[in-house]
Amino acid sequence: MQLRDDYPLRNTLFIQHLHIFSYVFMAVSILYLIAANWLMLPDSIQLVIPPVILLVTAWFSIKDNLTEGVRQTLHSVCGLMVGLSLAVIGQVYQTGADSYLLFLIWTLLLLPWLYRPNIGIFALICITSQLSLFLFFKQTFWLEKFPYLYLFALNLLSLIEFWMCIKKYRTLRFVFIAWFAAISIIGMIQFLSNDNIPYLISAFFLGIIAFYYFFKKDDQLCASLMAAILGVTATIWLVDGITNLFKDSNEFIFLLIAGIIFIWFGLISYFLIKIFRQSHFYVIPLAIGAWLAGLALAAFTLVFWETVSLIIGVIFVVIASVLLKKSQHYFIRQFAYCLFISGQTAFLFHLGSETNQILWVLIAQFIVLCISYLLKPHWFFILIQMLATYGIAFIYLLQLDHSLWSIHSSQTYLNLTLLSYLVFSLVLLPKSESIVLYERSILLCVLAVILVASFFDTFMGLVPESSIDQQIWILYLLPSIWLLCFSIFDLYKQLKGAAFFAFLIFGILLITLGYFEIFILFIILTWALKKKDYIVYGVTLAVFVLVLWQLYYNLQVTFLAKSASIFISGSVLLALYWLLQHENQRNLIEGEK
Amino acid sequence: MKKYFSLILALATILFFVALVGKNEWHLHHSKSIFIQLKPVDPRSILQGDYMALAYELNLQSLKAVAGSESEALDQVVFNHSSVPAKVILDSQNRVVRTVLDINNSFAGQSLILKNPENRLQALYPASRSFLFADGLAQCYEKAKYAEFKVNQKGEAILFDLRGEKLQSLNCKQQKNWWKGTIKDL
Repeated sequence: MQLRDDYPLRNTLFIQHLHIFSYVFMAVSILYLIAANWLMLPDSIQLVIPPVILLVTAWFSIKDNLTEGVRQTLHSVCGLMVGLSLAVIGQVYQTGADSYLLFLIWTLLLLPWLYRPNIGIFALICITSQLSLFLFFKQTFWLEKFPYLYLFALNLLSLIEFWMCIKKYRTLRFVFIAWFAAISIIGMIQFLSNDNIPYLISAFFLGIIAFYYFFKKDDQLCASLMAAILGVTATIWLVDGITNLFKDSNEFIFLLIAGIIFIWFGLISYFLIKIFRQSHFYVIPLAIGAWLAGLALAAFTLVFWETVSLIIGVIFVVIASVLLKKSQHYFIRQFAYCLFISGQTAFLFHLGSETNQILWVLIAQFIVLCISYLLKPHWFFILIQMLATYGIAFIYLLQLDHSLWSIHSSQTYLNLTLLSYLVFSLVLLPKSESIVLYERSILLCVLAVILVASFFDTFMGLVPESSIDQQIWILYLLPSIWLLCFSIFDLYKQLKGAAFFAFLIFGILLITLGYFEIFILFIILTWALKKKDYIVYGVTLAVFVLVLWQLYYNLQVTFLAKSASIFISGSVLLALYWLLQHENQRNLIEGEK
Repeated sequence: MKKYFSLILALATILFFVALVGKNEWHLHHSKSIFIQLKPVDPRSILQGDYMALAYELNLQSLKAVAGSESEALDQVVFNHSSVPAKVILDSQNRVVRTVLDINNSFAGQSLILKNPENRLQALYPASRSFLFADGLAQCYEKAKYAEFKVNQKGEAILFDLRGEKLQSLNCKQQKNWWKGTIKDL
């Protein structure tokens, strides 16, 4: 029998992750207990905890055998503890001190920690200083009295921080690009709403400086990103100008806007090709332009009356499908994706309003998903389609019960759980050639559903238990079936004896505790580690954090029970780590023999 | 020396915090308690947990008494001032019966600095507009009728506690053991 190892549980990297997670779970359980009872602690204890952590961390950081990365992390923890100490003092003594003062003191106390270059401390200083500046202007009413002074201070401070970033912390330059994008776009919107030239200057000032710097340093990626952002800002200006110019025109104005956006971003790309001859990053403005033009086209399709929009939507989808089938050109494909989605949105939206039945929309979306799959598009496009299908199904189930928070909502809750497990079952699909291409899309969709289900659990958890009691067995049955299938298809073929049963018990324990999603997250993690897929890996870790965070706010059980259950899960993970490690070593010895 | 710099920094920072705590403790021990009647509401924040949003019965004087006209008074005293100096008139139990806006320091009485984040007369308040407490104590704190402030001579206030109808202590913290955590029916 062929060994199925789509989710290799004996992968050394996965075993290391299990080890780390076991300690994370135990730490989280203690953190929950302290956080939940924080205000029950005597003031003196509350005041002492952050400075003690600060001192201990600083003491650890002076040890000689530490790597630079660990030392930087410890110093960053010190920086956070400085802020936490200030927050606790503010909380214990409710003086109502202005919050800008808190952030200003925090910034000043952080500055000396830069005696060694430290990216974490620098990032913290950037955040706290900007907050301090904004809150100072807001809380002293200077924002209203001297708005341009704030604009000047904001640009100056951002420029100084950007200068420090490119001198010592180049990794952060992407964060600064995002920050400059925000300043630029907000500046442009404010300029358009009140016609003040300083806002227009602010919209372009930092962006142009950053673009010039990246161009001079031949940083092609950053220069292209910056050019694209300046292009977006200028597009907002253009669109505003066009709509003012053709105030009395009909919906065809969106077609004109789409055309102008195409030309405009095409010009930016042409300019980038001219200045960076060997670069392939010119596609960034092209892609952004294609999607912005698509938004304009979507608006064009949505403003028409119902039947026409339906037809235009279908025409758009057909044109996009042909383009996707025939062309491999980057710009054409991006445009086709966008055209597809705008046509699809128009079609589904007006289908819903014409039939007044979400079921038809759901069926249509399912057909669209199948068509998308046949077109063999980019994995992200399939992910969008999968999420759209899930979203519409979710809305359909919600609207079945008009009184969501009433006694009937337990049925809705069960329906939604059933939908979640329908999506989770995609993890169990055999990895045939047709599926392999979109494994990432499937797993990312499952991760998104885990997140939604986790959030929804917290809200639907407010349903009185008595109403759900009669059907509560389904909540245990669905994960049990999933676990059984996984055990037969994967677990049993990979693990034997104690390790197999330990994993099974871990799954059963999580089903009993009510957060089986964590088990699925571990399984997805094995895939991400095997395939070295950093997108799925990163999203899985992020979902782990969010699920654990969400669990904190789930008020179904007392914090003591919650904390204890997470601690037990951590202990079982530690046992699993030990068993798998032991089994791997035994196999190695047997192999050597 | 560079090796120990982080430890020195941590110690210096902690010394600064000790000084801050000392300053606040001095304030608490060398200030007067005043009580302001509450108009409480009880929200729950996803990040902060349970807390009580406070609104105060300050019994503010008519603005006409401050300046010639109401709009002139608003301009002089409230608009674009992040804090507004006031004097409070207390009864025999130190409860605030009237609050007088006092920009020229011309009234007698206990000083009290009011915060003005919204630039509105109706939104003035002393020190803090929320009182944080442990999850599960909402029912106990719902009985609060007065807020106790510790106010020094300059009028700087610290929100110290919430009190009952007869200014009695509510003793909410003592009614709950930490290991019980959040109760189910919050």
